[in-house]
Amino acid sequence: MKTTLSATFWICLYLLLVLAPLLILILGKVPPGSGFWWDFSMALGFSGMATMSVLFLLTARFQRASAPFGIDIIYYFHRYLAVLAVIMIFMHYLIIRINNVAALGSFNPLDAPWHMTAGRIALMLLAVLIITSLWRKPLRIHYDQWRMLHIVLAVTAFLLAMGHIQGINYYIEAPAKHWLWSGYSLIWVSLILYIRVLKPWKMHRNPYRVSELRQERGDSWTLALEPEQPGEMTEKMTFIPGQFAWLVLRASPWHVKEHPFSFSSSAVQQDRLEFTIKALGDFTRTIKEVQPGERAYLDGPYGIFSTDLYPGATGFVFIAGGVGAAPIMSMLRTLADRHDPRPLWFIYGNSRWQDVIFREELQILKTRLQLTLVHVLKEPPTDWQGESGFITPQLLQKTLPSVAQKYEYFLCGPRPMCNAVHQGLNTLQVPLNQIHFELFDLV
Amino acid sequence: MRKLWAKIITLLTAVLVFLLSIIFAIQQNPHQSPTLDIEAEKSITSTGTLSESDTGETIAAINGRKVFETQNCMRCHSIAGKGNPRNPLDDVGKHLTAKAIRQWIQADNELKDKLSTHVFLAKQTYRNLPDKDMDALVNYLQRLQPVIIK
Repeated sequence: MKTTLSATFWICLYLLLVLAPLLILILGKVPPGSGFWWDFSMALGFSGMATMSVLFLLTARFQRASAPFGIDIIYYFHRYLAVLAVIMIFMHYLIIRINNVAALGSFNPLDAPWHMTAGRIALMLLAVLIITSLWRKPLRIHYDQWRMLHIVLAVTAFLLAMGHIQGINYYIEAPAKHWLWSGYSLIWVSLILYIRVLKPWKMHRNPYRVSELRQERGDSWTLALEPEQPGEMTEKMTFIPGQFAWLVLRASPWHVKEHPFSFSSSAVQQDRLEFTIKALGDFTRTIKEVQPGERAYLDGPYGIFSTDLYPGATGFVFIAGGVGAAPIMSMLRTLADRHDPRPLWFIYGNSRWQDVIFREELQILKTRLQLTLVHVLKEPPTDWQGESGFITPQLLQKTLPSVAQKYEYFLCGPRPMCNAVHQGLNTLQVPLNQIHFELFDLV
Repeated sequence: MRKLWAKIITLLTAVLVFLLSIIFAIQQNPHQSPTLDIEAEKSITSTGTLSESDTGETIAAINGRKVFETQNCMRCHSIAGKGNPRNPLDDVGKHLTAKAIRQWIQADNELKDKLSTHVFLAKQTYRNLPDKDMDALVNYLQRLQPVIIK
């Protein structure tokens, strides 16, 4: 109930921020109309800019605001909303272009006034921003370079577009509009200070040391961190199992070089934080080179992918693929440390038996928990007695208890696997609100 | 489930923004403006080229129209629906004398209080317009007389 109320509050606040320019235009005193399409275009332009302001707020990782939804979905929402904002801004331009091209004046920056050129450059930057974000992987842009590019493009486009609005200075001459846009600018400057100065400063005051780097199966590594000065920490990180944090290694917190990873250790032991990382990408392939004693910084914890949020559940079903088992391990280890008596199922998909991360520890956990463990191998060895192939609806039906609707489900793994499992759970009539995802592939 | 909600809220935002934008555009434009036929505009733009029958005033107006276009006046003003509809000049010839039109074009100092600082400064650049072009432009604007087509 508390979560629903909190979510409703944040959604209403969000809608108010996006719609405020339009509401002031409709309810306030504005100059006379200039034709339907002209005024429609202007309204879309203002709304696009208000939406862009909100986009910056969404990436500020405010823990209180993101708590009811989960930060992973906030980033997905950021992506959907960015596409909508850019559509609105491009429609603002295209309507004038089609309906009244003469009003756009000369395209030549030497002849055109600065605010029209600013608007045109902002449009071009927004196009580049969207293309590089939606197709980063096909374009082969390195994640760290993309993040820097994303920030520079977004900030420059936003400033140029604000200059365009100020230069035209039409609707914003009304006091209410003037204060509204000044307010948006103020929020925006405060956000930059918070994200780029205050937050890194807080991280800098709470450094960690790499205490261990342990090789796991399947080209994966477990990185253990401990607070550098445990007694002097100003803010101790307290996570619940299944959550994640942004990790900074070999860089200062002021650098834009942070990567999200799930905690894989037990939440009962908060003084030693572990992350299990598979060498898959640009950054993760360098993890094996990390040396104990190196300094690290953390921003977190984030996420609502946790058994702790369902204390009344009668049991839990975990379904993971590969390194997707990391947050599941955090939950299983925590449940074991708490001597939790509830029934648990873990369906764990991997390619090869020798690459199954946590294989040995899972056998031990079976003795500490009421755990039914089902390994599913894509390429099983010849003498394999267990399940093979993919995690299909038929396999779920065979493996899960007959009253599947009673339990909470946690899915973490490659997207095709999650989609297939989701379909399978639908056929078993598991309610949607009992299926929980961790959406890691943010960009 | 959460992804679906994110899509629903994005869709809701799109619907609300487009709906309120349409309401605003309709509220701002309750009546369809009568179609204006600017006589001078028609006589100038329909021919495009000069003929032997053109009078000296028509020639000056044609030149004035060219100045209007080359100076990008349509970025801030419209004539017969072309250009920025915020500041239509369709009937400027009916209300202002040639002298007043000239003062408004180049933002004479006595108009400082009637214009925003931004517009006042922008218009001052037209003070450098050659006399020949300024005369032609004033001549053209003075000839703008709207005729409402029933």
